[in-house]
Amino acid sequence: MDHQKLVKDCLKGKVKAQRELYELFAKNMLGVCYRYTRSIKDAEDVLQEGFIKVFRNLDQYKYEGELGAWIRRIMVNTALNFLKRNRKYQQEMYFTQEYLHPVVEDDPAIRLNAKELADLIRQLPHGYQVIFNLHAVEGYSHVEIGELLGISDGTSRSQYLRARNLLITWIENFSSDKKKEKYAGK
Amino acid sequence: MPANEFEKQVQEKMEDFRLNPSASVWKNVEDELREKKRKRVIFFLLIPAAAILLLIVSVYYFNHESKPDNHQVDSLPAGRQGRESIVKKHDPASNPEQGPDSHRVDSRESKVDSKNPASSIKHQASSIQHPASSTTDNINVAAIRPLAGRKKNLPVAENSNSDNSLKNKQDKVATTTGNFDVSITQPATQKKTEPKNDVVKVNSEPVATELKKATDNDQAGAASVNTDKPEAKNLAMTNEAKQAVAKNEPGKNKTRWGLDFSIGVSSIQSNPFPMLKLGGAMDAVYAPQNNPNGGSASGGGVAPPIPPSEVTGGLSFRIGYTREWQVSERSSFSGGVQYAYASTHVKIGSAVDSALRVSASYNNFTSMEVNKSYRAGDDDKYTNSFHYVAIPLGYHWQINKKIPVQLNFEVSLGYLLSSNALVYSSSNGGIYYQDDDAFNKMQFAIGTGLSYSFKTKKGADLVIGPQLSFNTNSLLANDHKQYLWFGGLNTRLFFPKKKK
Repeated sequence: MDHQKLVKDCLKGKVKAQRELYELFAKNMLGVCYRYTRSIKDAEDVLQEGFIKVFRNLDQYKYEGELGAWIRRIMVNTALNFLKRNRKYQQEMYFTQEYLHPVVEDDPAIRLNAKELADLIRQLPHGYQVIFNLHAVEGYSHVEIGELLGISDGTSRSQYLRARNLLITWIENFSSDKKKEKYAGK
Repeated sequence: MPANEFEKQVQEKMEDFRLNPSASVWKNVEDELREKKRKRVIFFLLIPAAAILLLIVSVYYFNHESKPDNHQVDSLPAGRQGRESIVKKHDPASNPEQGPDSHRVDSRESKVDSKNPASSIKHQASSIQHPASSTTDNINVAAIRPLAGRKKNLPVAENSNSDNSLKNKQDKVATTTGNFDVSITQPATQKKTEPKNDVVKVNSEPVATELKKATDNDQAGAASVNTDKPEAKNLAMTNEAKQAVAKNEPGKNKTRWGLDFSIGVSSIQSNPFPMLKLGGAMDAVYAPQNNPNGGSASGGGVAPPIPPSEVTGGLSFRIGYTREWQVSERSSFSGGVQYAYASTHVKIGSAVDSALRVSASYNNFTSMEVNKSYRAGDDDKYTNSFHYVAIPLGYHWQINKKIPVQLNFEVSLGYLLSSNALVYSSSNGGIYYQDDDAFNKMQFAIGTGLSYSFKTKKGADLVIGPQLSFNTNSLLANDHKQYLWFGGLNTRLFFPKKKK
C-alpha cells in the first residue's frame, strides 16, 4: 500500500491502517528515540507519545516529502520535549559557551554495527549527545540547533566538535578492544 | 560542516538502526486514540441534545403561554394568512328581541367574556342555524368574514351570505365582549512511565550553561535541508508544510475579531417555530365593537371594520463586530454586538389627519388618543421598520476536519431602539396607528445556520453561509403572539493578525 492511501485510510479512522502505519515505521523510529534517551523504556515512552502526535496531526501531512521523514521529525521534537521535561536529562544538558576549536582528527572507518554505534552515542554527555544527533544524524545546521536549544550556533558548533572527537576516540578504542578480544579468542 | 566521511558513515549506520518496540507501545497508542475519539463523540452528542432540549422547552413554554384567556381571541388554524375572520358575538341578553333567525356559529373553543357574562353565548353546535337572516339594527349575529373580497363584499351582503361563509369555515371562532379591540401589529412582523535513570556518567568538560529552552514545538516541525548539513534529503519538509504545521499548532490564533454582516428577509409568524406547525400562521381575529368613536353603533346597519391586510416579509440586515474564541481544533465560540434592522410590509388605506381614540390592548384596553393614523385598506404599501441593538453569542462547529464547513448555533438578546411599525385596531372602522409601547422592547432569538470558510487574497478569513433565526418572545406586548423571524445570508470577515 502506498503511503498516500495509508494516510488517507488512517485519517478515516481505520484501525487497520493505523496499525499498518505504526508497524511500518515503529522499529526505525524507536532507533531514533533510542539515540536521544538513556534507556529503552524512555525511548518507548517517546515513541508512544510521538505516534499519538503523528496520528493526531496526520491531516497536516501534505504528501510533500517522505512520510518517514515527517514522522521522524515529530519523533525528534517529541524526544527533545521529553528531555526538557525530565529533570534527570536536563541536569546533564550542559553546553559550554567557549568557542573552542578542538583538533578534528582524521575520519576513522566505523567498524561497529548500528546498535554498537548507537550505544556509544548514547554514552556521550547528554548535551553532546543531543547536538551530535541533531547535526550528524538528523542533518540540522548549527543555526537551527542554536534556535532549537536556545544556544548560539558557535556553542553548538564547538559542542559538536567535542562530541565528535570524543566519539571518534571511543570508536577507535572500541574497535581495538574488539580486535584484542578477537585475537584473545583465537 | 558534517559533509565528511565520518558523518556520512554515522548517518548510514543510523538509517539502518532498528529496534523492536514492545507490544504495550501500540496498545497504549491505540487506547489513547480510541479514548479521544470517544470523548469527541460524547461531546458532540451533547450539542444536538442541548439544542433539542432547548427546542422542547421553548415549544412547551410558548405553547403553554399562548393559551387564550378571557380577553384573547383564538387564532385561526394554520394556513390562513393575513385576512381576519370577523366574529360577532351572539348576545341574547343584550338583544332580547333576537329571534330564531339569529345565527349561531359553532366554535370548538369559544370563549366567554367573564366581564360580561350576559353577553356571552356558549356555542356547541357544529352548524349554522337559521342562516337566512340578515343583519338589522343590532349586530347579534356571528359572522366570519371571507378571506377574499374584503372591500367588495360590504357588510350587509356579507352578512346575508354568511351562511355559505360559515359553512365553509370549520375554524375556531372566538367571541369577545365589551368595548375593546384587538390590536395587531402589522409588522407584521501518555501514558507516562517514570523513566529509570540508567545514565552512564562520562567524564567530560562540563563548563556550561543550562539548556535555556528546548523547543516547545513538538509537533511536526519542519525545516528544509541546508547545503551545509549532512545529506538528509529524506528528512526535509518544505517551508509550506512547516507553515501549515505552525498554523494548526494548538495555542496559536486562539482569538480573532471581525465584521459580522447578514442580509435577508424578515417576517412574522404566530408561533416561534413555524416549521413545527404548532400554531397558525400570522393571523388575527378581532371583534367589532361598540366604539363611541365609530364603527358599530346601535340602531343602524353596521359595517364591520375592515380587517388588517396581510403582512409580507421585508428586507432585513444586521451588521456588527464579532470576536471568536477557538476552543478546540474544530469548535469555537463567538460573541459581539450588532445593529439589526428588520422590516415587513402591509397595505394601508388613506391617512386620517384627525385625532382618534383607540383602546390599547397591551395596556388593559385603556383608551388613548392617536394623532396620526391610517384607514385599513389596500391603497398604499407601508413599510414597518424595526431597529435593534443586539448581543449575539454563537457556537460554531466544523463538521469535517478537512472541509471548512461550520454548523452554527446562535442565541441573541436584542433591544428595540425604535420602530415606525403600525398597530391595527378594529375601532373606528379599522385603523392603523403608530405606538412604540405596543412592542416588547427585549427580544430573545435563537438561530442556526451553515457556513463555509475560505481565505481571501489579503489573508482575511471569509465565512459565509445561510442563516435562520427566530425570536422566541412575541413582538407584541399584548396577548397576540407574533414572532419575528429572519432568513438570509450571513458573512463574517476576520482580519489577518498584524505581524509584529
